[in-house]
Amino acid sequence: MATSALAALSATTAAAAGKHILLSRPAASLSFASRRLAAGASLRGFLGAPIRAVASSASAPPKTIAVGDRLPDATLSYFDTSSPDGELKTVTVRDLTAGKKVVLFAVPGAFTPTCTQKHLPGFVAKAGELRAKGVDAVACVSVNDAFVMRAWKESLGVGDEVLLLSDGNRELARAMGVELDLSDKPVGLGVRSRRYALLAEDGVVKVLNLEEGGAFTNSSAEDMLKAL
Amino acid sequence: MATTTTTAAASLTTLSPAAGKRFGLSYPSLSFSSHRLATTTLRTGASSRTARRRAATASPVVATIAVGDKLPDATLSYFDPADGELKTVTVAELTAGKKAILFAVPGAFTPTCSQKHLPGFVEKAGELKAKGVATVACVSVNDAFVMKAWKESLGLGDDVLLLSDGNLELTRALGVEMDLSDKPVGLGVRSRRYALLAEDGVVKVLNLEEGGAFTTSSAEEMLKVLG
Repeated sequence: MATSALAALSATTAAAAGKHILLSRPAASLSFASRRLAAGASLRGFLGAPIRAVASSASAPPKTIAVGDRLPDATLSYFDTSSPDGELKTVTVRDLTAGKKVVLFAVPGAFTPTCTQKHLPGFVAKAGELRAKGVDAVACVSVNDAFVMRAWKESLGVGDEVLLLSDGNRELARAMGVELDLSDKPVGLGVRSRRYALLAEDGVVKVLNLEEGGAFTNSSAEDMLKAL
Repeated sequence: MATTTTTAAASLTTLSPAAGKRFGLSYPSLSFSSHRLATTTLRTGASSRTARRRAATASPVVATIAVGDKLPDATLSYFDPADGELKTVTVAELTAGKKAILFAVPGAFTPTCSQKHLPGFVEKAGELKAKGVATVACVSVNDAFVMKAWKESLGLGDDVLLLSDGNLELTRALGVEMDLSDKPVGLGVRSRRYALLAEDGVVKVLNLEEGGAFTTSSAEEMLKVLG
């Protein structure tokens, strides 16, 4: 009898706890600790209620991230295609950004035209130049699950120049106040993240190019290079 | 193996003028303006088993779909391979006046769905149609871009329609939501796996799994009950 994908997932994530990975590029190795997702994702607000960027507690909605803010912590996930077993791993925003210069950019959706044809490829092409300017890591985040992010990465032939990370439970997008509600549109995107590109130094936002919705005006790799 | 003379997608447009409605989304720039969510109206069929109760979340919770129920209406979407346009189809258009199989997967590109559930239906589509099934459709809470990419990655034609329930409309109306948002892989809220046979929109056979398990919802099981 085939095991359910979900049962397999639980085993994978348990095994991933505390695992380190080394990316095969010259930058610093990224060590990650898997941790339980904080209770930030909730069923309510997904449909049928006005979206406020709230966590499941009754606190005020997070305001939109701004230059000078410390990035909120959140857990992102990815399938580690550089390791032989390709297992699911998690990384927190803190682990990703502490003590480093990191470019983080968000797309409304994997496999959507602008994201696939322009935004991500732009960062892949410019990753080397960004690193030459002192950027330690370039990461793309989207409200898609890690399976879809992996498939997207493979379809575009992206290697380790840009990390593709899943914010599928919308934890980071919500905490940053950048949710984008597209659930009245028939294409079925639900609630996603606004497009942005930011530079964080030791977790503090130094440069922020945040788009209205999914527009693609100042959030490109070229614009980030100019700002560095 | 017999091939269909018309693609399933083309057959959708013969249902009614409203089927396969086009939406003028302008590409390649994907410009959206963020705005408040309009309240989603959940419409279920007039089934005596439908019960509505207000949960603490203030979202209406409906009873789970069952044999004998009329399928609730909902709008699903897909990219039409004929012209690459985004189109929509309602459950009513898909199921009215015919035998239709609808099966749901928790997620495109996930292992069981990709390796077993969907391929099984693709393989058996011809046999199912020989038994009088007019439409075989796969539904998932993924957007239509992802469904299209998944379809292409598996090299599928149009024997099985891949439809997006990305706004959770059908899944909620059927009462088959599955909340996976405490798991790190980022699936959020999806649909339980199921396979059902509807005749003129009324559920005749329902193989509904607990969560994403894959036990009774296969194409082979559906073939058995079709006799």
